[in-house]
Amino acid sequence: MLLTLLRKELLLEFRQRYAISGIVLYVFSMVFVVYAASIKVQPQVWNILFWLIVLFASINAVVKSFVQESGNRQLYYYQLADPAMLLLAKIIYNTLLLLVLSLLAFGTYSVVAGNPVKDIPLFALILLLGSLGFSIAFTFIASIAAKANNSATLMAILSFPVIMPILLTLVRLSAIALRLIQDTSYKRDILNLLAIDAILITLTFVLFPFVWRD
Amino acid sequence: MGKIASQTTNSVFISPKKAFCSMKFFQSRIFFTIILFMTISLPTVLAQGNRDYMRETGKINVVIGVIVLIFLGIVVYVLRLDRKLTKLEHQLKDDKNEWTN
Amino acid sequence: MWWKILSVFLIVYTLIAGTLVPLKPGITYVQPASAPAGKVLTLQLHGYNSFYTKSPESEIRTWLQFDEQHAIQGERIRVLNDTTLEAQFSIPSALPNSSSSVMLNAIIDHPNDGVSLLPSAVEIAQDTFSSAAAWKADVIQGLHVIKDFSYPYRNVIYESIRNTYFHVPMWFVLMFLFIASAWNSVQFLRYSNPSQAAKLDASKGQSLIDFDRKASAYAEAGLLFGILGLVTGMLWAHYAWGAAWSNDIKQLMTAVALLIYLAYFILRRSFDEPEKGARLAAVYNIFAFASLVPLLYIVPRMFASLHPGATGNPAFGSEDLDNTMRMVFYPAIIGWTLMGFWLAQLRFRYQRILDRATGLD
Repeated sequence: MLLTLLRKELLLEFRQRYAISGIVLYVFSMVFVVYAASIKVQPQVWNILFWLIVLFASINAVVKSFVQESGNRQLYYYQLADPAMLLLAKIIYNTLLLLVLSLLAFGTYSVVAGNPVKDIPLFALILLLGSLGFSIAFTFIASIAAKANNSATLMAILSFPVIMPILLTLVRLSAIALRLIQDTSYKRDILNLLAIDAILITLTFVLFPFVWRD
Repeated sequence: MGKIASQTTNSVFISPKKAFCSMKFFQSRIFFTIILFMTISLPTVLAQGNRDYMRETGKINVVIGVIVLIFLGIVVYVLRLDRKLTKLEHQLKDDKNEWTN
Repeated sequence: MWWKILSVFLIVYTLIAGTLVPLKPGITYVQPASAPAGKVLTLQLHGYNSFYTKSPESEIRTWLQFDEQHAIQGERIRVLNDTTLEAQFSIPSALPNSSSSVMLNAIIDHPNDGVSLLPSAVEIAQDTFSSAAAWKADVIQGLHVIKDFSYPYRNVIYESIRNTYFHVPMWFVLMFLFIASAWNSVQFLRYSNPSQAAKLDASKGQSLIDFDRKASAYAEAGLLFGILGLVTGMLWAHYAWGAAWSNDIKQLMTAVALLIYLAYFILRRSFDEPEKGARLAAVYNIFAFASLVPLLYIVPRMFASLHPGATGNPAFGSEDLDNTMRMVFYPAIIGWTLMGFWLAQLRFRYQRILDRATGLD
């Protein structure tokens, strides 16, 4: 069931290639703006700019996941499949999508602005955890925002306060991966991040029944 | 002639007084703006001039500033509610008039 | 009704006790602020709220303290007036450690005023050799501890310690209102289920839409107190810490809470059907509230806090709040919280009347 739903998401994405290429282009242009604005980027700035790029790209990538399907089609899905399953499929799919996007952003960004990352395995783990956290929070917010008319604006407004704890932890962790700060107890930050993800995903499944039915 | 003159003087005489003494003034946008402006500008005003009131020994004026800010904040909130209630009262009055007519 | 009277009573008590109770005596500064080692130093100590003339000069003692063990006692103490004291210190030619200069704390023990201390009052410069021998050990004994109804004296903060009763409760009110708002959102969603809705007791005045009105009213009052806490905090921080904003956990959390509330109100108003708006806003309220809580654990790991109790504890540490302050601080929190709930209740009642008048209820 889950696999079928995942395949559906993938197929939809593939059929609407312009949407995903739009996001990719968005990442490229943001990286280029960083390059054009400053030739040499300090590691401190690199860290923050990188997460800003990933944050905005993620919001734009996830916002469409509920908007692109019309209300009637959504209702049809909910009759075919368990709404919770549908949401889980979307979260997993968005996690993969965001992971690809952030890797892409990391690649282009390193080429353009240099790669100050010292601890590559840790950074990869951070990217994975970041994609997971962003995906959970943004997918759920997108499902709320999709019900309103001005969903793109609403999406940004609603997600900033919610994403704050995740974003702050990610910036701190990647600062450790960049060796900007020395901290041997960063495992606690990773646990924090996992705990936040656990809280958010539990709430997502508790609250989603109130969101989808009209 | 005299009657008209007295009427005009009356209205001229009363209107500014009325504007400041009646409840309407306290509910007006101008009063609201004044309070809001005071709230925002208070720290700047106190910090200006030759004497820096906020940094005087004891810093008691910081406490006064904080108390005044909290008071003004609550007043602004109550005033907003007051204005909303006035609007509602007018609305209800109009409805009643419509029914009686 | 009784709790509204209690609120007013407690706030009046806070205002009176918070502004009128004096501070304990303290030392504001000493002159000169630096001296060379190996000379006799005549030091003027300037007191705050002190009454030096109330005791004979022979009973007043004063020290320059290096650490727990090492200190030099002042001699020939002269009281110039209530707030000025002069004493002579013969500073040994060698300091207890080998650094080129050390900061000494000034301590005054006064039979009437009690003990007062100024950390890092005098800087003593020396040549490069050191010896602790000339420093008398354990000379500070038999201090007068005065227990009266007064607030502790803290350097830099001084009288603005009274803001504890006016600025700090704003944060507590914000939190209580936020919890009440989230709780009402939970209730709204719980009873929006048709099978649960039957359990609502209409005779007790319970109705589904009231939960939503309450959630929004508490959120609005929370917004007010959040802004007040932020603004008064910025004013206080500007004159106590030197900067209005310093990425402190409480500042950050208040700012995020305000963003959540603002987003909540924007979300409520972006639907044509009120029921749908109420439901989705309730969902967002709960979701955002839950994501706010982790900030308490995360931010302290990122930024050093200037607030007391910085290790993620929203309350004060015991050393920041003595028993006298507790007697005003706790009533202040209760008083301001009740005031917040009062304002929210007014807003809620207005909304109910408005909805009835416009036929939405």
